[in-house]
Amino acid sequence: MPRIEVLVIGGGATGVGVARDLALRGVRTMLLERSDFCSGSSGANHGMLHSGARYALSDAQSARDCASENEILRKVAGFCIQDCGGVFVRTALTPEGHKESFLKALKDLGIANQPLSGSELRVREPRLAPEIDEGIAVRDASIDPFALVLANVRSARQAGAEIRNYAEVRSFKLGRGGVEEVLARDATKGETIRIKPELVVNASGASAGHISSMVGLSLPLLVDKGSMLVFDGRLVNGLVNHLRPAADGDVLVPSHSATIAGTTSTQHMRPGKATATKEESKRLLHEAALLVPAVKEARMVRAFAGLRHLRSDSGLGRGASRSHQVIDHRDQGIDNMVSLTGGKLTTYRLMAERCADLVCQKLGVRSRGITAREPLGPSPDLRQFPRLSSWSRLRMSSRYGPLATEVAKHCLRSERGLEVACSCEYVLRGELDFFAKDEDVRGLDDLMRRTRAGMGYCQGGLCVMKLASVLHERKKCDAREVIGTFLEERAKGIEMVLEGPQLRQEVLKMYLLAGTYGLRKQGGEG
Amino acid sequence: MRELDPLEIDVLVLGGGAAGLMAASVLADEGKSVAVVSRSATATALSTGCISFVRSDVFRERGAKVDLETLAHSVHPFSDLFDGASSTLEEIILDMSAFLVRALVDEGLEMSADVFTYHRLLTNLGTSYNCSLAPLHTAAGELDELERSDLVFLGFRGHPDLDPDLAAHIVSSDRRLKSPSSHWAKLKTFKGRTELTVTEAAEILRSEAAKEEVAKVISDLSEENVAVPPLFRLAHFEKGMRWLRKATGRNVFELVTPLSLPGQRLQEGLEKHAASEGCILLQDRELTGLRFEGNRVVEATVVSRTREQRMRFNALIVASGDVIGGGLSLEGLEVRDPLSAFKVGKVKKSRVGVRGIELKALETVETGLLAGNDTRLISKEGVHMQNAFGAGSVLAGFSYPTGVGLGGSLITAWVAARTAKEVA
Repeated sequence: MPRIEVLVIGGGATGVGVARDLALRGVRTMLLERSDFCSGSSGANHGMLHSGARYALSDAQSARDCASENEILRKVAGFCIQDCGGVFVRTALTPEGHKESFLKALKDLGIANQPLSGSELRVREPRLAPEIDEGIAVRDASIDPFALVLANVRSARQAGAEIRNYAEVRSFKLGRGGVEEVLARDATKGETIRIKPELVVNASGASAGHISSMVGLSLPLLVDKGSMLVFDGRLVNGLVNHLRPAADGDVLVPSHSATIAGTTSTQHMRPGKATATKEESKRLLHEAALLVPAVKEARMVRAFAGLRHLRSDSGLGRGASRSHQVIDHRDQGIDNMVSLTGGKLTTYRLMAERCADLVCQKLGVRSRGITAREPLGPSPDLRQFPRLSSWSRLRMSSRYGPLATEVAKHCLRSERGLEVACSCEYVLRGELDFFAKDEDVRGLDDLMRRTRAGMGYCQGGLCVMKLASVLHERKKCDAREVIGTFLEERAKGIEMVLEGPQLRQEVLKMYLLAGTYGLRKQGGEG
Repeated sequence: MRELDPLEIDVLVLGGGAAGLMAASVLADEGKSVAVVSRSATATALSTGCISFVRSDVFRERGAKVDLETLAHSVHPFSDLFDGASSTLEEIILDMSAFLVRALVDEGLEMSADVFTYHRLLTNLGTSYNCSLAPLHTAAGELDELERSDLVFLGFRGHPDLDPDLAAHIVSSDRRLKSPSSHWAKLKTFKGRTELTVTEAAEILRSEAAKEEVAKVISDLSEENVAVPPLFRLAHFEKGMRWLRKATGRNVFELVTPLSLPGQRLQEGLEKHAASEGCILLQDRELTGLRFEGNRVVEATVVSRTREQRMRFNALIVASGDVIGGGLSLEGLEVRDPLSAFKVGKVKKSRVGVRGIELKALETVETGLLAGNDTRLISKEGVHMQNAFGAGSVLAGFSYPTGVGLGGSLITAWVAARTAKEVA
């Protein structure tokens, strides 16, 4: 095998973006992700494609970057973007003069916008609080982070990169110039991976500090926790932003069959897994109701939290800069390692490109990045499959993008491919089977991330058996164990939103799976 | 709203699930005039249609008979409930079961009748399931018997209730059973449809051609025991299953299956029986108010869409179901009586919880209506009611899996009816 030139650590949006960018420039690249792709911060956000307006007053650079990346991603990754638009609405909490300075900032930055009257607003968003009578439309959109990341993985592989999930970097061997060898381990396969890269890119997000400490570096990094609340159903047509200085819970984002209210902001000390608290859920519900009172009647599906990693020089919490930084560790004595900090999903491509520029400069590679114009894959056209329902075609196109045609074919070809496996999200058995045979997929969560099966309002209560069945067929997983583990995990994730109708549903599910079927973690039966 | 003429009856039963219908049938059998008011689908219709009197974790030793002491202590909080009652718990269970089995046979649903010998059966997911009373064609799949010969799970493409591969895989983790096989059948009579509901499938299976086709599939299998998903609705169940067994010479049995036809059959059987006893079944109705006189409830207001009716009675039985079924309302984590009439609380000795699931919110189901040991309800003000009774999962401690599901509900309904008889 030819020598790996660059090892990228981290399979979030930025990491896969760097790997793809480098591979497209002809650099022999390998990427290692400790868990599954998009399972960290890249997956735990509300899926906003920023117009830049949100940062217009606080962070001009981020605003500019978002505005230009927004247009680029619409061209190269249109399949996973829903151009639902966004509005900033003025409420009683909007400070005097804030709207005027906001509009001026948008103008100065060249961010497209359109002031809306109360009645114009109401046409776009009928569920807005009745007292809201003024707003500004911007080019915000909703983006599917999983679809985006998986398309990057696929494109990078096609360009020759080796991309692996479930491979955790365990140690570095340092030499004169810096990193000489990296040891990683694929735990499920029990396999040790040794790589001698010319250069290492640390794109491990909230774990970047941990990775750099393994080579004896301290990386100035702040970790900020943001919690979000998911409601069943699309309560807004586009993004609804609260026009005021940054505060908790000031945006509602429509996403697939749900609406996500976000976010809170608290400093987080450990890079480990973050969870939303009951207090945060309550606060988000309260804030969201100021914009769209209907959320109070809506069903809360779950609450979740993501970690934002911010540049340490960026200030604290809300006021923190969302801009990114590419750090060359040469000055600290490690000449062949580069770390990435900060940034956002909207600007992942730009950040990856800047990183790849630096990497190429260090390696003496001359080729230029092409990700700003090279589409992430062919636009799917599923009209050739009239046997699929129009809803399935639409769903597959936006969910799988460049892969959609293959997935559709598999559904039609495989014996039980057209059975509906998850009725909340309308996922076909063939879709599950398509991904279950993929080597990247190890367990239930991986399958859920790729297909959205089990992510609807029942949170996997009824389709878990079907997921387990497919996994057993393809992977010989112990279905009883899979279901038991799943139940236990779910119980943790939904505890804080469990009340009212959601509690009813959950208890019914427990009656059924744990009571009637006797399925629980340690096997055994009652 | 149009007001209908008031209705005068001996007993008003609120809730048309297993508990309400059982209480209504018993009282009607005693010659009382009874009306049952119900709102919508019941938990009974979603159940497995199998009935237990003992918590499943009591079933440890196979083949053992359950003695009364085990029973009384396992079926929380029966032991409290029946202190000082005129009959022993054993008598109550025997009498009630005899009544139930007779009632269901009359309506075309034959149950296994030995209540103190429990069955170890298989679910449609391949897990094992213990219960006291089961339909005969389900009880035919006794695990003890299956251990001695071979078993095949037979699924039908397009039928939602059984994935035979998954069931066979899950059952094979039970070492007592020989590795069962699985078979997918494609029925021509399903016409290649991939998404039938159980009801649609049952409709197709009414035809002789479809039954013949199923029999042919079974005859082509080599196994002695054939596990199938629920195939028939109540009207065709006994005949259909008997015919399949006879035509194929195999032990064809139905897997224990929740959210499907078995629960609907039990619901339908109990409804038909209550109707044949002369009960007035009023569906799609809601009870909106109660009038009290001292320690008695004397009148209720019942609403159905645009009509309102007052009902006067001598006894009221509240069998409206738990928080999950909607008999009790839930605001946040707080459980309330939607009628704002009776006292809500938790039972003392809590045994709640499904082993292995840590979910604090599950404790909510411990809360329900509080009652004296003869199921007499207590008013919100703390007055012990003379003529209002609780039955089934609306009672604190009887919500599945706090209680034991249908068995506990039926026992309380029996006691409520017996006591109500005296005042009605």
